[in-house]
Amino acid sequence: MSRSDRLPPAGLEEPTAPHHSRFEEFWRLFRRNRLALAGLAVFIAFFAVALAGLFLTSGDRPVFDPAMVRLPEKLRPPLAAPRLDVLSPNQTPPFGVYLFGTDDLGRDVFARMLQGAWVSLTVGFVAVGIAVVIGIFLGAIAGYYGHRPIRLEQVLITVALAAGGVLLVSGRIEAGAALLILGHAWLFFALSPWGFRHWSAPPRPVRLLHGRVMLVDTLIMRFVDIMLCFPSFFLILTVVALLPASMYTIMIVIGLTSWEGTTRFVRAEFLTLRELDFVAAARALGLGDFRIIFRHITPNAIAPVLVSATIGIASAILTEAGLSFLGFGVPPPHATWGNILSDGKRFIFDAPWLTFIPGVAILLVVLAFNLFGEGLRDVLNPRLRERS
Amino acid sequence: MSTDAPRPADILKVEGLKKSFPVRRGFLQRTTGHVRAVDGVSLAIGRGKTLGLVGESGCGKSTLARMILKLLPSDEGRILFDGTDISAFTDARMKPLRRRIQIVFQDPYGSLNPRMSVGQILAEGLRTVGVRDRSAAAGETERLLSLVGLSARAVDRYPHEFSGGQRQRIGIARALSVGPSLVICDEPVSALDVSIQAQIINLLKDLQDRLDLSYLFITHDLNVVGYLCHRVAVMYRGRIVEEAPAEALFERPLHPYTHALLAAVPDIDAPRGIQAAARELPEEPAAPPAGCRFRPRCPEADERCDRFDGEWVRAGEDHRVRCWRAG
Repeated sequence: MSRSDRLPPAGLEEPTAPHHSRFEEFWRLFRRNRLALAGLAVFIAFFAVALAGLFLTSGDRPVFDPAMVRLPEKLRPPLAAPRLDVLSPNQTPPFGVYLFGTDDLGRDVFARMLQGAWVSLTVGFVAVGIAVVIGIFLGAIAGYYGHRPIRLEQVLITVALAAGGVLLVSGRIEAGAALLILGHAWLFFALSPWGFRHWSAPPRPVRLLHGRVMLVDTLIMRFVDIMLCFPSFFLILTVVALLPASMYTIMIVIGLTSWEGTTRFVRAEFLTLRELDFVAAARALGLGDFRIIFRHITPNAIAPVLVSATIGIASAILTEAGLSFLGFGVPPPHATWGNILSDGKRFIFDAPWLTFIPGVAILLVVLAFNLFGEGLRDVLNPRLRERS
Repeated sequence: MSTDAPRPADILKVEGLKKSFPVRRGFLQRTTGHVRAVDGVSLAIGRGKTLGLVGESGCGKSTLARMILKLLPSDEGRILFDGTDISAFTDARMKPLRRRIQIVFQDPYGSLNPRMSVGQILAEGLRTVGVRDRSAAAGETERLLSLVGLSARAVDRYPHEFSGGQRQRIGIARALSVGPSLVICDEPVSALDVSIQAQIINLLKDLQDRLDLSYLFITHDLNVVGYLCHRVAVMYRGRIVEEAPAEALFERPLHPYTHALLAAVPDIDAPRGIQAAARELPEEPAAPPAGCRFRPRCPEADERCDRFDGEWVRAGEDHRVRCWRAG
């Protein structure tokens, strides 16, 4: 290398590769996977049906009325024509046919399935939404701050504040307020420039207070392990049995018991990503931790979360159906796929469609989500991408 | 920092910097010993000058760079940046100084966020220096891109659409986005083709002239050093073993390790025997020996080396070396 080959900036350089957006790239690879594509199609159809179901089965005069009881018309098979002589004009089903038959109260199963689709969809998405938010948050903290120690002082402050809060709420005002004031005073002292961490030669008790209890990573990940030790379905059953039954309880409880996988994925991604040079560069630029975690690292850690979320929706739908089947789900007047199935099992020989229709619907949707999720994983994981 | 205080001649001065990492072994991960990654390094970089830091991989070059950037806390020693000792600075106190020391990384793939467009990458730096207005940021981004020889059309492209050399230019533009005075180049050309290397080196030299930058140029390639650096420090196992102006080092290398490094540079004219000798430098032992650290690998070692504890020997003006033979 000599000075003679020192090039003048002869024209500015253009990017080498042709411009493809990330979505184009994704779609090109995803399209090749037929099963995943079928999964996506079922997913979209399910979404459309659930949305349509919400509008067609609600309101004062729904097009499909899932609650209309027609006792003379009970247990009619699918595609049976209604007997117009026993029904009043406003009791006749739309299209003049019971598409999926009727149940033991003469209710239109098609209308009930439509209503149940929306329940399945919202339970799936809201539960997974809760799980993903908790999972990303805890996983990010465990991955990014995991190596930091938790000090005895911090534990004591937390305990004082929590105990103070509990006492205050439970009516013992003086003790609660005293603990809260003590906790806050200590907190401000610890954060102030006079706090223990700035002492150069601390005496023994201070050293003890400033001693390490465990690492942030240990705290979060062992909590994950503990949560995973409970058979989650029975945990949900217990909680649901104790709480008032409603759709929202189910969603929240499923969400609160299924975030552990996401936490592990996100932590693992963070451990890899935080050592990469672009994170070091972001720190060298002087960006804050919050910005580094959420703007620089999280978008790169999101791919496995997306995959586990898609499969998580399937298992949330399945869990909800299971709970409804056992009678702990959404309370009865509201139809869900689980309780249609549950009601139908008494008539499995007389009216098999009452079990088969919701069963096949659950099967299809869960299968579709799993296939879609696995296709997503194949495309988003660059190491698997080489093979296709 | 008061303005009337005389500005020190050196933009960066490092004194006795140390860092060791615990070695953990076994089931309980007990600490069984320490690796002294950086063991008392002192160096200085003049304003607008380039200091080359040369050494084999694992000798502590990158650890040193990360300590200067305050990405890694140091165990001992002082880091004087523009006369201020930043070695004990907390993150909060370091924040306003961050923009003055920047880094260019070796790996052009891992050093750019794959989910951000070039415009977004550069905007992150501009944000920290207070350019938040959209049109101002766009103008500034364009200026930075042309400074490193990239077309303004690169703005909404993603890193995977660029070649290695182009990515390195983006990395340089990111470092420049906050207007630094000192740029640490951590092997910026080692991952590139030789022809691209020349372009990037020329770009760095050009930018130094235009923006009055100082560089700490870390490398294991002595070819590059001779072209770009004013002074050179040779590092071996966490210590600087020889330091001299670039010409002096090339003309009269004194430490046997420097000899070996120079001999390792492929040279068409060199007789084959010398190159072979350089390659046969023995493996380094796990624990540093008593006496001179280089002793187990030194082709010229004798019993006097066991007693030599590695103090500096002056070997002429501005040339110092840790080998008793030079005295």
